[in-house]
Amino acid sequence: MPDIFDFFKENEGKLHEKPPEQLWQKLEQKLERTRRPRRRGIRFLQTWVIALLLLILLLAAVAVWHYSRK
Amino acid sequence: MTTDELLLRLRDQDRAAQKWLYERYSPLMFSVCRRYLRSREDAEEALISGFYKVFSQIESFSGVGSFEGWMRRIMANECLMMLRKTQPLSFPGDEMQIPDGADSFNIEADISAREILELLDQLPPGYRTVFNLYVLEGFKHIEIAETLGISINTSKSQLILAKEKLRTLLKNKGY
Repeated sequence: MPDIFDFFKENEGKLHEKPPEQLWQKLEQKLERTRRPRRRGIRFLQTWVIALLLLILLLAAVAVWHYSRK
Repeated sequence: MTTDELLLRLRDQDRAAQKWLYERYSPLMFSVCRRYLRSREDAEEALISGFYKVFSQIESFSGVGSFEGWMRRIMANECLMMLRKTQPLSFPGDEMQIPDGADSFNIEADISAREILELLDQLPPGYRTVFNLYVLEGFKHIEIAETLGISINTSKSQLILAKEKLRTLLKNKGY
């Protein structure tokens, strides 16, 4: 016969219970919230790279126009 | 999916793998949380925080020991944090003498999940926490003492008192 501790150990499996459906959604939202800053950071960086490329193109165009006039 | 494949995908923060793990283990982990926390809402909150830690700290799983055991420890720690937040843990009767010898009480009965939870809910938080950690999580008294910031003797006496209380409660229920 099991003693009182074994009795609880053996019956522990009966306590398994599916949590409410909406908990996964809450967890997913929490995971998303922590991902966003990284995405924002990447987007911020992309914007600056594009702006820098446009500036270089503009300067190159001005330079070409300036020297072609000479 | 093997454990190695799963871990690889979890390290990549693969949402499908995370959902698979959650679906597979949430009933077990929810039962862990329910055993520590009387309030269902607190248990749900601890479950979310626990799984969040599992996913965000997946790199810290060394691969030594079982992955399930590692998750259970995270859940138990989340519950302990929540217990400390909601009510300071007290350990009444920690000065008692620890008797030698094995317990002679034996039980063989069919008991429902609701009745088990009711029994655990009737234990004072200190008894219940030590009982959960020792009997169901498999902690040693020294680990319980370190986790809860108590002495090894207090851990032992809380366990004996929990056993006594459970024995009385079971007898009162006619088992």
